[in-house]
Amino acid sequence: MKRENLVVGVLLFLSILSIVMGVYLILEKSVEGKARLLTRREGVAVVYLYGPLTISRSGSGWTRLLQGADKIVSQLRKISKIPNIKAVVLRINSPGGSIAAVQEIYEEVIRLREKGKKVVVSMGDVGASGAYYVACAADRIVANPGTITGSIGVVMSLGNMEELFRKIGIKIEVIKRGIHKDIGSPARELTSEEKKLLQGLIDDAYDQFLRVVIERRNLEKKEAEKIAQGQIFTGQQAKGLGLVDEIGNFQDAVSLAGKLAGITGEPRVVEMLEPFPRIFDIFSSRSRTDALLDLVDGNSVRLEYILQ
Amino acid sequence: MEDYYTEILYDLAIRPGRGFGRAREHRPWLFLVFIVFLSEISIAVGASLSLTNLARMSKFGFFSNLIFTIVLATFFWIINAGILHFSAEVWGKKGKVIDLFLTLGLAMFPFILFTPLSLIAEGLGKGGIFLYPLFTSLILIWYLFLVVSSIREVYASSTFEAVLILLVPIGVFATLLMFISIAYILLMVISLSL
Repeated sequence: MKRENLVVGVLLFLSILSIVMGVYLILEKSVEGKARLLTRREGVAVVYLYGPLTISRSGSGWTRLLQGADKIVSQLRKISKIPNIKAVVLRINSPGGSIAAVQEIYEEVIRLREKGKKVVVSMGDVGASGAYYVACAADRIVANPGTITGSIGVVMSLGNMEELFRKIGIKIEVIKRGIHKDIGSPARELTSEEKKLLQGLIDDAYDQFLRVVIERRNLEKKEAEKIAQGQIFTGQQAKGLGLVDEIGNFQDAVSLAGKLAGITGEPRVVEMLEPFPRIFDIFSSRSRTDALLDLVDGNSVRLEYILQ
Repeated sequence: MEDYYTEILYDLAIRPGRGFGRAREHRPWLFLVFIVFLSEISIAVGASLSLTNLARMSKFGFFSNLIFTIVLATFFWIINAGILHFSAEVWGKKGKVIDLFLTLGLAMFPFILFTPLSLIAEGLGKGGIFLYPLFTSLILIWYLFLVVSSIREVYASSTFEAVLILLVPIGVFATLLMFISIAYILLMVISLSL
């Protein structure tokens, strides 16, 4: 065989072989692949709920990246399809969020439990309001003694910019069909009828929250109503009130999850981390004026289970 | 595989001028596509391997990266041939753009080593972190050397002229980018002060 043929043949063979090995390695190291590596050992997945819970996304088209509740729900769905993951630890460090986002995650946790997975919540600094709502879906709640939790209640904040608009000479003209179509408009104060209407919404949302706490935490209605007035509690206090099951840290929650799932020894932990951020997200940012604009934007009219 | 395929690749490694000469003579288009495609996949896989050390990559992320790299690299190859041909003509050199297109494609062949070298760096664990930039730099230098050789071969120019043909478009682009950046900053300053 000619020397050139041998050298080039070996080079091409090595290159193709390396590519195959490289692809295999990348897929095994992928978020989904990591869980499949647990074929010999069963494990516990960790899903992070950090920050306010909302239904949102970044980017558009092919750069769209799941965020917020959609991302968490997607992760929980993936976990439900992995047989070797026997339990999930929801690591919560959140003041809550929009009701819809909270309820979507809550329902997904319930579904996960129905598929036989054990769910343990581990609270960090804060696991309040909507985050607590989500935690109620779990088999057990573990909090640090100093964790801030509770804040069982509903809030809706509406900005009234009437005075400001008058000062700067802005007049908002509203043309509508439907008496309450411009309810929550920042250009004027709420009428008493509108306040009643919104209070109705709040009351309904509150009842939903209270029902979840009563059912999931096995509390009497009167008992639950007393502690569900928006008060915040430390983890220690919450345990005394039956809102939390155990005092402990993240590792304690992982061990508990493993124990509940029947895993012997220290369970293998799989973190459901974010995929590599799309490059376009580096260029997106939220300016401080966006928060102010939210007050004037109709989209700010929304119910929230959130610690303020 | 034809004998001259392996000879072309072997010559590219040892005597690039001769390799490009043979390539122009035989015009091995299918082999060229194979080398370009293999190089592009190697770049994508090698880069993904290094990226997975920084953050988890989902399967979708990897395959998106793969397709994106193939498309972008092919686009770069085509545009590069056009720009360098134009640059050569500005310098008064005569040659065929199709020959340049062929030789630039073959010049990508060092990248087929990108994945094997990335695997070596990966295999060394933490000690391999410094090898990624080293291997990348070496391959890039080799690639640029082959690009200069291909320009020399196609346009019968000296090495100095070939380097100028390569560098002038880069210089023009960098200057344009600088002016655009300055203009943008000035516009921002003006709009803020209004």
